[in-house]
Amino acid sequence: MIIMDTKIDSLLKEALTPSEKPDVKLNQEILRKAVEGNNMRKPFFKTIPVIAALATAVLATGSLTAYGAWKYLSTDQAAEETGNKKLADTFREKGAVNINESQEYGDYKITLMGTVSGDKISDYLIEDNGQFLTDRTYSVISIEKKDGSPMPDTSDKDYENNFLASPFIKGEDPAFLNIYYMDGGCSSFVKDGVEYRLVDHDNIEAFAGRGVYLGVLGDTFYDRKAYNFNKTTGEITRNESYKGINALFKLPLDQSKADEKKAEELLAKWYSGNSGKEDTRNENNKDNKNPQEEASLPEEDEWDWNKIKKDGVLIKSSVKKYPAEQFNEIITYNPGTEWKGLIIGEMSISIKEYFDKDEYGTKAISEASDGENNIYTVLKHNKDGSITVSQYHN
Amino acid sequence: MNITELEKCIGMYGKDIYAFCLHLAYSRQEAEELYQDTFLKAMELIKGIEAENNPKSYLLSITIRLWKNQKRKYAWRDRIAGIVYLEDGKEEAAETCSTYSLEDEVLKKEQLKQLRQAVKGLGDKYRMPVYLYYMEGLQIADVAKILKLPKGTVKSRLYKAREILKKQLAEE
Repeated sequence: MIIMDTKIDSLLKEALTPSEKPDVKLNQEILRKAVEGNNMRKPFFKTIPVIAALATAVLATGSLTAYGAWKYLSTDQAAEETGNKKLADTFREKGAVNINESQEYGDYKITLMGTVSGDKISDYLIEDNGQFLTDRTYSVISIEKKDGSPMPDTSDKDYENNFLASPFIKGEDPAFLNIYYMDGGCSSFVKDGVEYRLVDHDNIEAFAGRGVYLGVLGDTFYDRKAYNFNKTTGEITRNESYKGINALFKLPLDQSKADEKKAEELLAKWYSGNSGKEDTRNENNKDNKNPQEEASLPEEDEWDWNKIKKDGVLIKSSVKKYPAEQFNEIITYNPGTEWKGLIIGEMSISIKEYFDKDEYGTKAISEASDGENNIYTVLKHNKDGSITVSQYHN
Repeated sequence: MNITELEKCIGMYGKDIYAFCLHLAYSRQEAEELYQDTFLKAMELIKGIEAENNPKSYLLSITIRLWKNQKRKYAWRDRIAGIVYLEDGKEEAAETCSTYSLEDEVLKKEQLKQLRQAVKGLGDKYRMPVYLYYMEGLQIADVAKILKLPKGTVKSRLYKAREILKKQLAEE
């Protein structure tokens, strides 16, 4: 049985059209959870309210002067504030790297305060699929308003959990390898108008030899437009024209901890989604590294209009013209073409999917084929704004 | 987003998001968890329905992120319980054309069922764009935005998916 493009299109639409509604009880359950604030069943990002403020203030007094700034916590104090005494001790005593580098974007000043890595350095155990993840890297960042106004408290209605801090590994595309894949998490709180974030994930010291970055985006999810990834050198850089927040710090790690074997093991784990099932590195790289399989597939200009124009035969009955007013609409094109057993049914075409408003020209947009005979549908955006759709056979 | 807005949002987009979750997940339980988590996450992230230009796209992007984050959990479950594929019985509502004979209708239903199963077996790389484009009715540009892929890559994946599906159906 030969199935045409147009047939498979309509079959797919028919087969997948949503028909089942969610149960009323299910929706009620969402609303109940929302009302109860029970929407953090399995939090990826934890929001820690400022607790034991008095005790913390006493602990903080000693080192505030060391920072010379009236309002900043140190890395160990930030850890202490989240109730993680073991981590606080680690930041104080075990060779943590203090950085305190600031970058300013938009309304915000973002400071990478410091980082520390090691096994069993936290009071909190991170559990993943029945296994405890103890070998971790923690980094502390602070975010504050440039104009000195306070960041909204986590309990404040204006608080927006809209930052993402993530390590990136040199040589790996951050779109495919960021904190979401590194068993990562984050605790945040606001103290004296400054927001602190303790970012934690698998220990990345093994990558010290390659180079590691820490990026801070003004969004909950990674945005691939925020950073440039150079496939040749592996360098990751800020996209200078990016309109949002895209801070990027180089994370200074202890070079003596570089371990290529361990680094490769971690990459295999992360790219397989930690399941041990399938390392998706090759798949991810397909979009970036132009492997043969993808190269053989049609891309944006998948059907070469010039070739069709040169070798193809216009099916005169298929030519239909639409006024410029229909540029923003989805037009229904039903040429009723039949040729050598190929039958083209009704097509829905969105012109703006193929052309910008001020872009004129001709593009081939689809092909129906039985393997030997082909019918191409061609879209022309005329200079007067009108649209012509036509078909050619080979 | 407050509770009233959340309720409104569920009313407007619940069916579409639910369908997406049902097809994405491997069991009804997982699908319902994903559906719930999508709206609860949306409540955290969205200031108001009106504040988002395209709430449906935004909700779908949340679903996909949650799905990617939770796949490990699901993969783990798979090893223990095996994957129980959903077949949703939706074919009852799928075909109403009165010109078909009963036999045609049965064959058509069977074909649609096979197609749904074939899409499910495509793997995320291909089935995600297929669901977003054919089931959710999004434009290529919106699919590209949600999946954070170039438009050309989305097109090529849809093309490839169609080719695979056509081949599979032809072999049935």
